[in-house]
Amino acid sequence: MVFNTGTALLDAIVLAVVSRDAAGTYGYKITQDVREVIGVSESTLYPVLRRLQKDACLETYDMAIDGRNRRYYRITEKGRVQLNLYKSEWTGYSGRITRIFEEARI
Amino acid sequence: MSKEEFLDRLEYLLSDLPEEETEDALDYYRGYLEEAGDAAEEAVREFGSPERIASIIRSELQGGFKSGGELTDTGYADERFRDPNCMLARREEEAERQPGGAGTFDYGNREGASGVDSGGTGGFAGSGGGTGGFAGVAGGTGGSAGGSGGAAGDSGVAAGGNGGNGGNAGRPGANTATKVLWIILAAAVAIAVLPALLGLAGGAFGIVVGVLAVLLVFFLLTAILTIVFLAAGAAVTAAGIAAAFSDPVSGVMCAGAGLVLLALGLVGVALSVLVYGKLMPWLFRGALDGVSGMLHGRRRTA
Repeated sequence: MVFNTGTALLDAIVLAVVSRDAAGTYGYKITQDVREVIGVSESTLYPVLRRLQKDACLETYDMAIDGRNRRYYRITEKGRVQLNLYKSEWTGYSGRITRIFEEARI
Repeated sequence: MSKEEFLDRLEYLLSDLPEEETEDALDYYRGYLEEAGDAAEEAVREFGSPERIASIIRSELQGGFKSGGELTDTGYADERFRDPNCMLARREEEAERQPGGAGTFDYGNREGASGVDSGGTGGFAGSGGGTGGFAGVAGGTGGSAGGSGGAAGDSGVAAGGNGGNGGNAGRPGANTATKVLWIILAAAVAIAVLPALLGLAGGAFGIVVGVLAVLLVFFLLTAILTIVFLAAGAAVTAAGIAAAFSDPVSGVMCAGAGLVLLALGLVGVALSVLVYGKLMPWLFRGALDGVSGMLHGRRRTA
């Protein structure tokens, strides 16, 4: 990937991925889902999830699966507000970038 | 490094942090590796060293994302934690993925640059020829000297255009041959089309002159009429006022007519302000823009 995904965009992608499952989703699946979109390294997401959790954008709960606890992440109301902000920012930003590429002479 | 070794090492490295943080991180990575199942070994390898992950978590706890590096899609980018071999390894990886990729690109670039260079020379010749073509049009109804000037201009532009293409294609050798071909072709086309072109140029010249004449008359007429109305209005009004002493009725009527003329004159002044203040500068600017646009366009094709 030529373009770096900065902290804000990574936060936005993680929030978007988690928000797709109303019942919540877990770290391994989040990582795999995010990796389908951007080539994120496997170790990257823990700090992101931890930070979003501390900022109360995500909440966690444990559920027993196959005799052990699995930690689920679920988006909070604050997280939705944040995600909505990211989404509208991205729409404007990417639209402007796309337009300048369409006007470019290649 | 096995899954257990990784987790043990990480636990040791985080042991000085608050217990809650250590537990949270270990829970996450333990859970992750359990979900990964058979791919756990590979995941551990991709995690990098436990030291790296520990320093990332530690830095995040201290709010380090703002003060230090930032998370990117390739992981946590911070000079303080960068594995010195990381960039090297990645570069090698990319070189393997697209063998000779960088080399080819560089090569193409250099050839392109020389192509652009010769294109630039072509363009220069083209603009010189362009002046010749202009002289040809100015020659007007088609003196043979003007005509040949126009032809030279055409071929000059064509050669310049081809030079530009050569710059893109980046093949300086073939470039010269095609340039010669283009010159011959352009000369042939110019000779065939020249009479029609001269006719067209004459027609266009006539239209331009006609439009200019109409505009000139319009501008002059506005000014003249304004002055005439103002002067006549003033004179008639004055005469009317003077006559009013001897013959009040016709004097007042005369003065009224003079005032109407004056009003018309004032309308003329307003119109003049519009014409000379707005329309004329606008036309001049438009004409200049058009001319410079044509020159610019010509330079671009060259």
